Amino acid sequence: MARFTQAKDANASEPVLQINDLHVHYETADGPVKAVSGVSLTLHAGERLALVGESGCGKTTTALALMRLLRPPARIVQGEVWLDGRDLLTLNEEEMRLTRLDEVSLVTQAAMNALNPVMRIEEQIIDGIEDHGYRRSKTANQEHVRSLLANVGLDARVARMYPHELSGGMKQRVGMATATALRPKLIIADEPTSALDVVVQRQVMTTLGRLQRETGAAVILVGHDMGLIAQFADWVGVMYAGKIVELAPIRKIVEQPQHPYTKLLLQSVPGLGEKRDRLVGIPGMPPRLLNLPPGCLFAPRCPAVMPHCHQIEPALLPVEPEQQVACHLFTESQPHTQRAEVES
Amino acid sequence: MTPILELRNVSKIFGGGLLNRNRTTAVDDVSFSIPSDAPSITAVAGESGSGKTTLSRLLLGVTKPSSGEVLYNGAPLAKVKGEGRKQFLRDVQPIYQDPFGVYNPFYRADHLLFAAVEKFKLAKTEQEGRRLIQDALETVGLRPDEVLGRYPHQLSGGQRQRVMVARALLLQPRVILADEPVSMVDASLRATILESLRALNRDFRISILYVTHDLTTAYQICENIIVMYQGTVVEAGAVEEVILSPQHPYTQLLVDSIPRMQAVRNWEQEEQEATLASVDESSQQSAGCRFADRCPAVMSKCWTENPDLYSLSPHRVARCFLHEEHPNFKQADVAQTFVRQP
Repeated sequence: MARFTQAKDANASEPVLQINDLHVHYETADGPVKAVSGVSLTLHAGERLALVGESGCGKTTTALALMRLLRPPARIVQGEVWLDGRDLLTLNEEEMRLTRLDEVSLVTQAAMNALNPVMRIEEQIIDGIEDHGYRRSKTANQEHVRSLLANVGLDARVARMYPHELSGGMKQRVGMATATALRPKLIIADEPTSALDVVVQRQVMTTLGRLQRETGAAVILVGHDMGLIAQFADWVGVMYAGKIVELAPIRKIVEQPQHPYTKLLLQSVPGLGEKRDRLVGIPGMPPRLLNLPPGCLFAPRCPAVMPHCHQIEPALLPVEPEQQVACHLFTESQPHTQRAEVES
Repeated sequence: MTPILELRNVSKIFGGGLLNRNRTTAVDDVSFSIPSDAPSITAVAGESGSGKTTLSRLLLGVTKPSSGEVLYNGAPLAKVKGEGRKQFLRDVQPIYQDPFGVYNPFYRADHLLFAAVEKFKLAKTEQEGRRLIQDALETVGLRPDEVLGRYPHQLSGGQRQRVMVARALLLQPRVILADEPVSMVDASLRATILESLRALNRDFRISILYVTHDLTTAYQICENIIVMYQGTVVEAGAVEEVILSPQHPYTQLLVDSIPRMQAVRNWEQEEQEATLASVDESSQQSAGCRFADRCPAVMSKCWTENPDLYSLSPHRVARCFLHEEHPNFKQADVAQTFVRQP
């Protein structure tokens, strides 16, 4: 698979994260369900990548695999996850536990459930820090917690509160404060605002954006709301059936999507522009990921499908600088006319 | 004509006695009707805690009002018994947020459909019942063989929700109360499910009350909207007016918070230019307007006096002192401002 550099300037340092050919299976009685099939990605310091797609496309599984937080029956069957020079998939459990929070941390959609109901916010954050071998005086710790809370727009009083005293948005901010406590190189945010109201959602996302700018971490945002992703991400990886089918800067995804699936995904999100006579979803359903057929997995739902799409799987290839697409409309052998047809 | 459903000065207070500090006014003096002669699609929008779900539960009769009346065909709903009650259960159909909660995991998913046919005697023979069910499933875009005989866990969230829409269709109700019907499903399926609701309105003349926090889909499928904040109606009227040019500061905040795909990376730029209104979530009690503590345009009287609904145009009312030069909205029923389908 073609390697792809997302660095904005040639002087950019080594990538922070490099995923090579990641495969994750869910073992079932009927055989392996191939949730992630050959995902490769590169992310540099300070970059924000969104993984987007329908439920079951493998976006959350990919994110959890990076943190090695998958539980059986899920199993990483192949691949490498290089974070700052170490392949996380080769670490032992204790090394991985220490790496989490310190170098890679997670903000989940259910931040409310991640908090211990009988511990004060301050104690929970300090607990997490000390658990990673950082011992300091009590005052230094409390000072640290207050500055973390201030960073996410929370009052110092929150430190002494219990989770039930906080609103959903405030809990999500506590989650972000914890996630950035040790200044990790990579933050994974899995649908961080899907349980929140729109107004709070906007506040939480702008806070996450500010934290990212201030800490210089790379961020992977997992989501399905294209509007939200457009407000946050630099890069978007569109996933379908466990594979990345399009990878490009957000502006290109929004303004000139190339993969037929990306186009349908964008069309299915109505805006406040012209009122539509009909709302159109994507026809059909994603494939079951057991016993995958040959060829492009989107072929049965694709409006631009060609005969050989059912036989040969398209590779993720650059179609333009900074834009990669896995679709036979863009492979060399295709006559130009068919390409034009899909764009119209 | 008598509306099919009507709320008349309805309030709903949760929690203990008069002196209990934990009393919550979920719905505060709301009057609103769903006409029986013209099918409508109306959105009830607001954040969690706005009272929008309580409003739909009051209309379903599963929550009793603390004061005011819920009327069904002009009669108090609480007094409708016997055959009339049975007719009500058929006329007004709910669709809930989480379609999984509705299903019994031990029964096949189609049990809901066959039970409805049996209970309301929709068909004379089993064959006829099966045909009705197949038609209903096809109308909502499901292939009957994909659904019939399957268990709930074998269906996707979108399929389960569409089976609920098919069930509603089967009963040929007058009104569907859809409470966040698509908030648990993917964007791509949202469009399909909302389109099937709209088709029920258009082709079967069923009125839809769409309870949601998503103003974009409300704008796309509804003609009219009621925006609620902490139990009160703060703005209501035609969606083209309310959503495209909101006049209540709360509606403005909601509309501003919609993530727009076209304005790439707009939020953080704006944040750097100006601090967002209402960053402080810890609310301050106001004896006047409930939105005062979050309002960017708050005035001193907002803290002590409660604004009325003012008629800003024939198709819009807003509850805000910024608009008090406009006439008071005399009719209590906010549906009087709504645009009607031809």
